[in-house]
Amino acid sequence: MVDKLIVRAYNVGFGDAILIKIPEKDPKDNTTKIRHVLIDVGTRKGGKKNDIYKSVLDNVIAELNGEPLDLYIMTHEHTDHSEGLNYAENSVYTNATDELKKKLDTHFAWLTASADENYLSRFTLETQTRIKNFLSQQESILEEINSYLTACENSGETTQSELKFLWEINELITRDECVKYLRKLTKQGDTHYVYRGCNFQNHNPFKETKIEIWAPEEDTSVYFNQFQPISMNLGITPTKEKGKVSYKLTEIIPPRGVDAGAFYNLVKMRHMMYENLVLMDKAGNDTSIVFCIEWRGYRLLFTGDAEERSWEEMYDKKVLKHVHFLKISHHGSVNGTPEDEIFDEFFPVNPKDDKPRISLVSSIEGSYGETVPDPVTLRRIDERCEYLCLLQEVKPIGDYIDIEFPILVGNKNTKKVHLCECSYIKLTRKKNKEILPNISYAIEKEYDKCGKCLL
Amino acid sequence: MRVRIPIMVQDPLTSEVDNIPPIEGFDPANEEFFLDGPVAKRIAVLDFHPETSEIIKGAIFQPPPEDKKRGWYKNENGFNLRKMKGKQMYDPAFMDVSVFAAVLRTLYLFEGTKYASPIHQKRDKDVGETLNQTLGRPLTWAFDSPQLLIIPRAGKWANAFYHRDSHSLQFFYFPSPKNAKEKVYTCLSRDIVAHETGHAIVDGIAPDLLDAVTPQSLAIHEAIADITALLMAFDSNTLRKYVFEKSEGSLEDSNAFSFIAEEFGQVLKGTRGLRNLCNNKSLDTKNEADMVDKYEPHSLSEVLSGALYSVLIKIYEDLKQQYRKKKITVKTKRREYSESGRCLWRAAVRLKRMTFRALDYLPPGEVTFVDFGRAMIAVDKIAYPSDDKMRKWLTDEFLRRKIISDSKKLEVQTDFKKRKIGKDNIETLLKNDWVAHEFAHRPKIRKLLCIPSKRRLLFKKELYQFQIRPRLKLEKKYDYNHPRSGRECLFKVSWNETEKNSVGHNYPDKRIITVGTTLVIDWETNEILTCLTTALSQLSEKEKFQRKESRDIFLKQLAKENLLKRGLLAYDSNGRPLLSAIQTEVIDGVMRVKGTGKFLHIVRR
Repeated sequence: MVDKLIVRAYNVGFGDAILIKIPEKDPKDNTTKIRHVLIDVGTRKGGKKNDIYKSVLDNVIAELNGEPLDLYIMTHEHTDHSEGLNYAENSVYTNATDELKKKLDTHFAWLTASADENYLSRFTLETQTRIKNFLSQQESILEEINSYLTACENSGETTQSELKFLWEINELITRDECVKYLRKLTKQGDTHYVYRGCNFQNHNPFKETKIEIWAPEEDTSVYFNQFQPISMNLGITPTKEKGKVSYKLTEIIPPRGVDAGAFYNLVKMRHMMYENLVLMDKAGNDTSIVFCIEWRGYRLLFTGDAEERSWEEMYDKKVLKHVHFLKISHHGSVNGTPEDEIFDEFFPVNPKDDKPRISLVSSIEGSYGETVPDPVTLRRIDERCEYLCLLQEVKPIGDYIDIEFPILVGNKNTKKVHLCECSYIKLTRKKNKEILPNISYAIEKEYDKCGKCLL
Repeated sequence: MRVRIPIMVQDPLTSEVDNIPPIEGFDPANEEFFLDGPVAKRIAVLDFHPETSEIIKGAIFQPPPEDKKRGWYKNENGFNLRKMKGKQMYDPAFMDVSVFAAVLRTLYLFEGTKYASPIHQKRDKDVGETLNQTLGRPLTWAFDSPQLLIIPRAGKWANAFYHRDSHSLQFFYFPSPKNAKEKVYTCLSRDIVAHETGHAIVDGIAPDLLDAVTPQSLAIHEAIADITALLMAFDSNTLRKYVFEKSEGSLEDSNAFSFIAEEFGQVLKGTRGLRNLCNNKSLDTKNEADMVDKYEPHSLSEVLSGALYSVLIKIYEDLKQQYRKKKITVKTKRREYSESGRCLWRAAVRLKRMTFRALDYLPPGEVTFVDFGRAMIAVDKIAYPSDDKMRKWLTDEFLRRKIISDSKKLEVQTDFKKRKIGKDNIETLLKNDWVAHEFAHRPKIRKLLCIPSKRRLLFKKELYQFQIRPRLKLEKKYDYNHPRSGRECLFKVSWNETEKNSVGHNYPDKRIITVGTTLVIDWETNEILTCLTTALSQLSEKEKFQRKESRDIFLKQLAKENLLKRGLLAYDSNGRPLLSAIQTEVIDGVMRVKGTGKFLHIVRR
C-alpha cells in the first residue's frame, strides 16, 4: 500500500480550515505514523457558525482517532482564520471545561510572530515606537468605525455591508480573545511564535518531512501602510445611555458661504473608514505564516492571506521555490497572488519537473464587493496548474475535499487511475489525462485502479 | 469689499534662521464678500479640529466700521490676526487666514488682479498687466463648482496635496523629528501653499495631465506647480528685498527664491529645501551627477523647472542690461523701485505668460516636455514675432538638458501663410458644439488636425471618433515693449489611440492613450496662428517607441507598488475612488488608466 499525504480542505465559506495528514516513516523501526497538522479554522460568511465549526471539528477529532493533534498553525490573527477553535470551545463543545482543547490534545502550536504577548520586547526602541504608533492608529480607526457602525444602528441607518464585514474580520476584541485561547492550546504550553528565520527545531513533530517558513518577517512593520488621515467622529456624537457610552449620527451643516454640495462631498471623502480598513487588513494579511512542506519529492505551499508586500519580501529574501501544491492566498483576491515575476519563482508556467500541479482556493462568490475571488487571478492560476480546485464549487459548506499525494492521474481512454509517477500514465497523451484529487473521487468517476502502481 | 490680512513671507523656520520678517500684509480687493472661516466666493477655509475633527469657527470676519473701507479678521479672543507676531502664527485662526491669503494671492498672481498696494498698482500699469492677463481668460477649476475648499490642518502627515475629486487643497502637519513637541504645519509654508494652488490652477487649464500615463505629463504638472511657488516668492516685497540685499541683485546662484519648501526640506531631509530650481538636472544618461530618473515624475520635473528657472534668469539679466543701457529709473510715490526688483518682476511676467499660456496651447491627452516646449515656443512666437531671444534661450536649455537632441524638434509653424479656416463665424464655433463638430469633420480641417482615418480609430461611429473640447476665447496682451492686444480662439480635439500594453500578465495586452490637436485661430481674421498636435502619425518611429516605453515603465512601477487597481478595487464601498489607488478600467479588453495624478502627492507610501 502506498503512503498518502492528504490535504483535507473544509468548505467553511469565507475562511480557512485545512487538515493535513502526513505519513512519516520512523527510521528506527521503519513504522509509519500519521502526523496531523491543522491550519487556522475560521469563517466570516457562508452559514451558521455553530453548524460549520461542529461539522469541521467533529471530523477533525474523528480523523485524529484518539491520537493527539501534532501541530496547530494559526496563519494570522484575522477572525476568518483564528476564530473557529475559541468559538467552538464556547458554543459547541460545552459539556466540560476545555472539552475541545482536550479532544484535540495539541502537541505543538505555531502562531504568527506578532501574536506573541511579548512581541514588542524583541525589538529596538525605534522599531517598538514604529509598531506602537501603527497599532495605536489602527486601534483609533477601529474605534471610529465601531462608533460609526453603532451610530448608524442607533439612528436606523443602513451601513455598508462590506465595511461591516471587513471590520468584523479586523475587530480587536474578538481577535484578542481568539488569540488568547490559541496561545494556550497546547497542554504543555508549547506555543511557538514563528517568522522567517526562526528556530523551530524543537517545536515541531516532524522526523521525515521538511518544513520551511517563508514568511512573515519578524519585524512586521515592513508591511505597514500609511493610513489616510481620518476624521475622528465627524458627524458622530457620543451619548450616554444607562451609564454606557453610545453614539448617534448628527447632521453636519456647512459653514455660511461654503458650497454645500462640495462640503458634503469632502466630508464623505474624509470618512476614510473603508480605505483605512483595507490598508489595515492588508498589513494584517501580510503577517500570515507562509510555509512550505516538503514530503517525498512534493512541495506543498500554504499561504494564509499573504498579500503583495509579503510576496515581495519573500522574493527579495530569495526563499521562493517551485511547488506542486498551492493553497491560493487571500481567498483568490487579486492582491493575494503576486505578479508574474514573483509568481514564476514558485509556480511557473513551465515547471522544472514533470509532476502535475494542483491549487486550491477557499472562498465564497461575490465577496468584498464582488472582487473576491478575482476571475483574472483564477485564470492566471489555472494556466499554471493541471487542477484548480474551487472549494466552493466542489463541496457544500461544512463538507470537505481530500487532495492526495502522490497525485492521481486518470487516463480518460482506459479509465484507469495511476499515481503520476507511474510509467503507464507517463506515456499517455496530455489531452487524455485528468487529474483526480483522491481515490474515492476516481472510483466515483468509474476509474479502476492501475494494477501496477495502486496495488 | 476689502480686507487686510496677513500672509506668510516664507515659513516659520526659514524666517527665524534667515532673520526675515515672517509675515507681511495683503489687501485682496477683488472679492464679492468675506465671511468667517475665512470664506470668499472662490475659496473657503474649513478648519477641522485635528483631534476631534469638528469644524471650528476659524478666523472671524470683522466688517469695516462706517468710516473705514477695510475689514479685518480676528481670532475668538478678538485679536486682529494681521497684527500677530512670532509664535502667535501657530494660532489656528492665524493659520486659517494666512493660508487663505496665500491661496488668494496665488490666484491674483495669475489673474493679474490689482492689489490695493500702490506699488502693485504701479507695477501693473508698467507691464500692462490687467485682469486675467496671464491666460487671457478667467481661471476656472477642473471641477464643476465655483469654490476651492482649503483644509489647513487635514491631519498628521508630512504631506499636502490638491485633490480634484473633493475640490480641495489638503495641508497636513507633522511633529518635527528633532523635537516632537514642535509641529511643522505645511499650511504655514508660502511655497507649499502656492505649489498646491498651482496644481489646482494647472488642473483647471490642462485637466488631462492628471490622468496621463506619460511620466513627463505628470512632471509638467509638478514643474509648473514649483514655478508657481517661485513666482509667489518673487511676489513678496519682503523676500525680494532680503534676497537682493544678500546677493547684490544677482540670481545666478541658489537663493531663497530657488529653494522650494525650505522648512519641509530641512526638517525631513536635512537639505535646504525640498527642491532647488537653480540646477543642472538633465536627461543625459552620461552625466551621472545631474541625471534624473526618466520615469519618475518628481525627479523628471526638476529638469523642466530647472530649464524654466534658467530661462528666467537669462531674461532677468537681459532686462537688467537693457535698463542699464537706457539708464531707466522709475520713481513711485512711496519710494524708488529697485532696478533689480523691476527687472525681476518683468522677467517673471514674461515667464509666467509663456508657461501658463503654453499650458492652454497644449494638445489634450498625453504630452511630453517636447510638446510643452513647442507650445511655449508657439506662445512666444505669436506674442513676440520679431524677438526670438527667449525662444533661443529655451531651445538652448532643452538642448543642454538633453530633452531634445536637435533644435528642430522645437520648431513650430506659426506662419500658415495667412491660411484661414474659412468664413466661419468664430462666435458660433465657440458656442455651438454641432458647428464645431461639423467643422472638424471637413476633410481639410480633419487633415490639419491630424485626426486619423476612421479605420485607425478605436470607436468607429462618427459621433465617438473624436471629441471636441470646449472652445476657449482668449483676450491677450502680447508684448510689453510694443503693447498690442488680440483675441484668439482655441479649438481642441482629442481622440483615443491604442498601443501595446506591456505592463504584465495581470493587465490587458492593449491600452488606450488620448492624444489630440490644438488649433489657435485669430479671432478677428480667422487666420490660423498655430497648430500643435500629439497625433501618433506625426511622430517618428523612435519617438513613438520612446514615449510608449516611458509609459510602460511608469505603469510597471505603479503596478509593482500595487497602486494600480482594477475595476471595483479602486473604489470604496460607497463607490468613491480610493485615495490610495490609481484606477484602471478594462473595456473590450483594452485598459484605460485614470487618476495617475495621485502619484504626485497621495498614493505612495
